[in-house]
Amino acid sequence: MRELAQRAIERLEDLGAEYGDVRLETTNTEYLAFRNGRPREASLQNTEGLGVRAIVGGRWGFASCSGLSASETDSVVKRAVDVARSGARVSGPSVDLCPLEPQEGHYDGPYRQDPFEVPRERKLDLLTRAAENLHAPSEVTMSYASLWFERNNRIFASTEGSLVSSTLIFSYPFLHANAVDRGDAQSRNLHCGARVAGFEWIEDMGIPGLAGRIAEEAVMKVKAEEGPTGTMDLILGGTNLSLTMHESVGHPTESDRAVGWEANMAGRTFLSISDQGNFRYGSPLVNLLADNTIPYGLASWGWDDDGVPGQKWHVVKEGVFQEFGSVRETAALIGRKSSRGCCRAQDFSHFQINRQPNLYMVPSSEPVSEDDLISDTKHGIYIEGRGSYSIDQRRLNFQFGGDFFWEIRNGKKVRPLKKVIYRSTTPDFWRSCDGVADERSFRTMGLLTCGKGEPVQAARMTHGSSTARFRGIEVRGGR
Amino acid sequence: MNRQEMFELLEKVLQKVTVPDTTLRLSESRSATVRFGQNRLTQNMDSFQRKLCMRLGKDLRHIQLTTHCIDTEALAELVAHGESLLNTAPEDPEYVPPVEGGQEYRSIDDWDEVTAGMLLEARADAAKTAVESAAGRDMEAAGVAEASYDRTAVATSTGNMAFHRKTGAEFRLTMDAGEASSYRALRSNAWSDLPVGNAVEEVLEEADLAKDPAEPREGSADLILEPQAVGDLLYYVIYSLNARLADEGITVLEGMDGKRVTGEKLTLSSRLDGPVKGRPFDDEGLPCTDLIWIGHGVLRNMLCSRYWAKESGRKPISSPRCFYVEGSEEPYENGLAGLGSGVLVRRFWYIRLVDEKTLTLTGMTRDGVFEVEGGRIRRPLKDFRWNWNPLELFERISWLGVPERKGWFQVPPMVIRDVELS
Repeated sequence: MRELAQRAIERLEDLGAEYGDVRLETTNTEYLAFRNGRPREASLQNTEGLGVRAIVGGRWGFASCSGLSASETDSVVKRAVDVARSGARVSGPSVDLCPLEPQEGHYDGPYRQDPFEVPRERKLDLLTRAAENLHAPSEVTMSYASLWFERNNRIFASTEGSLVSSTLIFSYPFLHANAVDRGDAQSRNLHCGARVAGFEWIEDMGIPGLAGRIAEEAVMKVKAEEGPTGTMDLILGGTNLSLTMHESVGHPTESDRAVGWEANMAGRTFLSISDQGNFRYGSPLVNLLADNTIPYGLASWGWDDDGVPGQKWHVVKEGVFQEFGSVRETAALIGRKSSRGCCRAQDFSHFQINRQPNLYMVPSSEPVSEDDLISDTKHGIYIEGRGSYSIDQRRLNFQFGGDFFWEIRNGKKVRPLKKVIYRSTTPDFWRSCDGVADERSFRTMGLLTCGKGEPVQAARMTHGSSTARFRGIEVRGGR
Repeated sequence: MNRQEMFELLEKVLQKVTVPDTTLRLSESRSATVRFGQNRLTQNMDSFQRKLCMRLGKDLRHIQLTTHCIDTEALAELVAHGESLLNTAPEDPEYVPPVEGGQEYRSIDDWDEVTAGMLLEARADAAKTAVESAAGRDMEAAGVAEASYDRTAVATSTGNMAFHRKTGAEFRLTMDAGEASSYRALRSNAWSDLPVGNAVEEVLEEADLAKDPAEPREGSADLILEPQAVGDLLYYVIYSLNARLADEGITVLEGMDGKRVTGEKLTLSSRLDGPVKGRPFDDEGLPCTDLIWIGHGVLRNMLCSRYWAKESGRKPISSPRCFYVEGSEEPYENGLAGLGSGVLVRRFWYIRLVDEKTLTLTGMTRDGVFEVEGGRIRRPLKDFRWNWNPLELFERISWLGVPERKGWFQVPPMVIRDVELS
């Protein structure tokens, strides 16, 4: 692959590209799924290809092709250059990338057991036990248990002299139980999502035991009372707050939204470029860190698809918005001298765009437990896991659900609930945060399918948080 | 690859397989997209992929392998690998062998040779029109101009061979004027069908009209939904047309076969050779057919896998990926006039299920909401959040206009009475 990368760079220079880069990838995936306790699917996928980006006459061109060969490489480079030339017909400023020193190196995502080396019988045994537990209660009419693994080898090279590569192994367990009772149906799910890890992560979390708990809680949920309506306090577990954070902090702080490049699809943002460093996003307890160096983070690739190294920075510090996530092309447009390394493509066949980094809320450094937050709450709802989610295109007006709910009365969890949704606007919500627990309750959620761009492409990132409390939020029944 | 070349490759793979059951799907796709935003080109792309998906089965065991490596040596290795893995696959009581031989497939002409050429210059010119028009009106244009083609061939060890090809042309545009915006999505199988110039002018005018929006009033109102908004809602109705999920008690359509699920004015059907062309077969080689899903409000058919068809006594039904809602020949102005007073919605955004069992959805309006009085647009309104059940909305349709293509749908504008605005 390195030879093909070098060949592509030489062809780009031969054809007069002002800048060019190439990404070559091979990807193996394995997917094992059970439905209703029975084997449903076993599939393997081996994909490979290359994508080439070129700037000619100040305009981007991109071409990609499945398969890896010298002749295809030459053909893809020529197409990228031809496509870029066609852009000369449209007026507008030339592409301007912020400076980057040539990068060189290799990044291996951490893992102990390569899932592709683990005998399939061992994976199936684990999944069989989980699927049986998940479907055991008579009220569970539909259940789904699956394991998904991916190994991705990627090379990035540019005409500026960068040559970097990565090998990443992703693992993703999924459990879903749907229980039916008295004309209603409710589901319960496993919400850790995916992470950069090997089979050891799946084994360590004890999937069969978790499946049993999820099935029991699905039954408990479908038999529960419906949630109340009114203004009350919310105590949100990390797996719930992760999605709220993704939608109401991760997306509005993407620089391409701020400059208008996503206006036709994913939308824009309520933030303006001048809000960096002074906009009151949340209460002083709210510290949100972007970190593309977390070992298990789905956006920790070593270098992004601009060849920029992974970084760590405050998106919100003590409640104040600090900085948009950026790529080389948007950095100068938002008043920065360098990129934050947020440029990623779904795969070789897509043009790389500005994506969310790994993003998490920093736990309290003081000893604060989840129980401390609950015991200090007179009337509220505790929510964990993700449910329904929707937010307007400027990322202000949102409505979220959850996967499991407890009513809190006088400092105690008193009964499970179902059909709860909460509504707010982004700054009102984050400014109402008056308690953040310490790292003991820190939970993460790895997303694999964040959709953005045209054609739509999926991106991966990890979010996390300790349990946190939000005062006076509008709650409605989710019917 | 053309039809003959694809069939020859699939035949070669079939000859290498020694296990009893094989289904192969060979696909080839190319898409070229110019993307613009902030009144400048932001991306210009041309992507090609060729992929083979092989499903092998024996007794109750099965496995699926997919690859981009499509040369003789690699394919021989793929078959050998798949057959060896089949031995470790668990037995699946729901396994169904390949589609029975002797299937007949309709030939659907969904191909435009000019569009298949990717239209490098025409797409850039469309972007230029949008960008320059916006800049002249102190607005920002964002959108895409796209050409694409797909060729798909399916072969089964039971002797079925199927081939389909289609082209696609799309122009999607947002004109952004600060707090106001408007949007248009044009789609056909031929670029020459797309009225790009007119759309740019119309969307500019609409965005202008949307400036300085007022707060919407609380309470209920009659709505006129433009075709884009109707298509946005319809997606979730189609999602619910799943026989197994209904039988398992999970969706709103449990026990509703043959019963009224919407008002009489709604008829939802699929016509493979209709205004939006469908696919003549699914990924397994099962033929797709013309169907009525909801006829005058009554649930007639739901999607059903071959396994669930056997279990439930239904017909197996796959999605033809084309959906048509009957409308009328009445112009849009008649709908507005008939509305009297109400709210016009051009488009919805970020619709998600709130409760699958009741099909309660939430979402926002986007790119144009207006107050209508006396059959005329009176003033723009701010976007609002709603929580609605689309089946209940379609219960209260009082007027349907001329259907337009929106993605896989051909849908009319509609007037819906007495809707609670939240």
